[in-house]
Amino acid sequence: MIKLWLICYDVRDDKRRTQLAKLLEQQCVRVQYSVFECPLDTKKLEFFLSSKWLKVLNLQEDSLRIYPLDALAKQKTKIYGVKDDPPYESPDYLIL
Amino acid sequence: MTVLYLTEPGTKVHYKNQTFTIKKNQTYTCRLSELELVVILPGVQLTDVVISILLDQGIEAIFLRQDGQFRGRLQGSFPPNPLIRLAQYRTIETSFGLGFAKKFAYGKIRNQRALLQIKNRATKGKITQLSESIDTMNVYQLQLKNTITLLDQNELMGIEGISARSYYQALTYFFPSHWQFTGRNRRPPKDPINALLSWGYGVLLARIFAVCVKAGLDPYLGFLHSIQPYRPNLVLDLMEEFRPVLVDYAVISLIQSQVLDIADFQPSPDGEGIWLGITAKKLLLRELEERLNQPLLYPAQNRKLKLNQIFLEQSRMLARCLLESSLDYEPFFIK
Repeated sequence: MIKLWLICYDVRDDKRRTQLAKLLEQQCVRVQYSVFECPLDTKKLEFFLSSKWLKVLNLQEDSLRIYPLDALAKQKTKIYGVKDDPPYESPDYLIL
Repeated sequence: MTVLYLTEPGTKVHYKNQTFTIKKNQTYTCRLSELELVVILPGVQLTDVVISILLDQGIEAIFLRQDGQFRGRLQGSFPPNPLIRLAQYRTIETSFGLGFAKKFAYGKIRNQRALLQIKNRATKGKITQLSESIDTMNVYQLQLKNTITLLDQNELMGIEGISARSYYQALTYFFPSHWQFTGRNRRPPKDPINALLSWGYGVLLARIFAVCVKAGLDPYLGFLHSIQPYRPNLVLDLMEEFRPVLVDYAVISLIQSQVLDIADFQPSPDGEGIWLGITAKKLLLRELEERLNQPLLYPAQNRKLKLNQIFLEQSRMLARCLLESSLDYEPFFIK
């Protein structure tokens, strides 16, 4: 089962863009302005696609792309520049 | 799924856009979708919205005292199963119930002994007292396993008690002498090792309490501990087999990794006991979590599970046994 997805979008309208970004931020980690890493299993991802995320968009003008990142893809990922954390993984525990 | 520990006094937790923001010196965020359990120590502020979210979304929230003792938990609406509770009430004070009590005591002694054996392998059996303790505990273990006559609660607690003395005596060999550990003491713990053990048992109790409720059991009505009022007796019962597996194991590795120092502990305000400082708390929690997330072979289902999943499976097994009036409950054993 895939547990990490790469989600990116192109949205024409400012209002729709903000709305989508807010919804994505609820479940995903923002890695660039319009790129998110999403730690959800396949079933949950489908739930969000059918219930919220796609409804915001005007599919005549906008686009949303979702790529699966399996273990191998995660391993082969190359990252350069200021935000150089490895692909996201939910921590088992956080002690604050 | 993430377990979030909020340990530092002065921490404030807010809710925004399906995310908790946690502010102390730095700001952290934690998405609700990833959150499984929150453990909260004194001095942490939750806003009313955070509390409603925890209740509504069924995220387990556990509160501990400064000395690691279980203080309570948030209980949202949950689907209790009256059939299981009735079966539990009917079993108390029957010989069938005593059968469970015997299994809990047996599970504890067997795992304590297994832990000594694992550690004894590392020292290649050079410490004779350690080998002696292992042999002594074997006697008690067999006594519990083989007696056909039913032992009553007092007899069981008696065997458990002398076995425990022998066990904690053996544990002293794993802690360097400057820690001054000479055996188990509590309420309050009088040395750092006992403080760590008490704290660890507090965390374990909280976790087992949560799985008991999840499995539909009544946490307060036990079989081995059922005589003591005002305590979550069933939780104490179910905990027994896991004390050595989780807490004692974690405390031994923590001390042997030499990251802790006497200075990480402080006397309690009344001067009678020892408390963990903030570093000691965090290091112990990390050690416990590492152990909880380690996959172990779960013989009942012949697959590898994380220890925190095994907790739930064991309480579900107990609930099933109560419903079906069968004594198939098998404690979880380590090798």
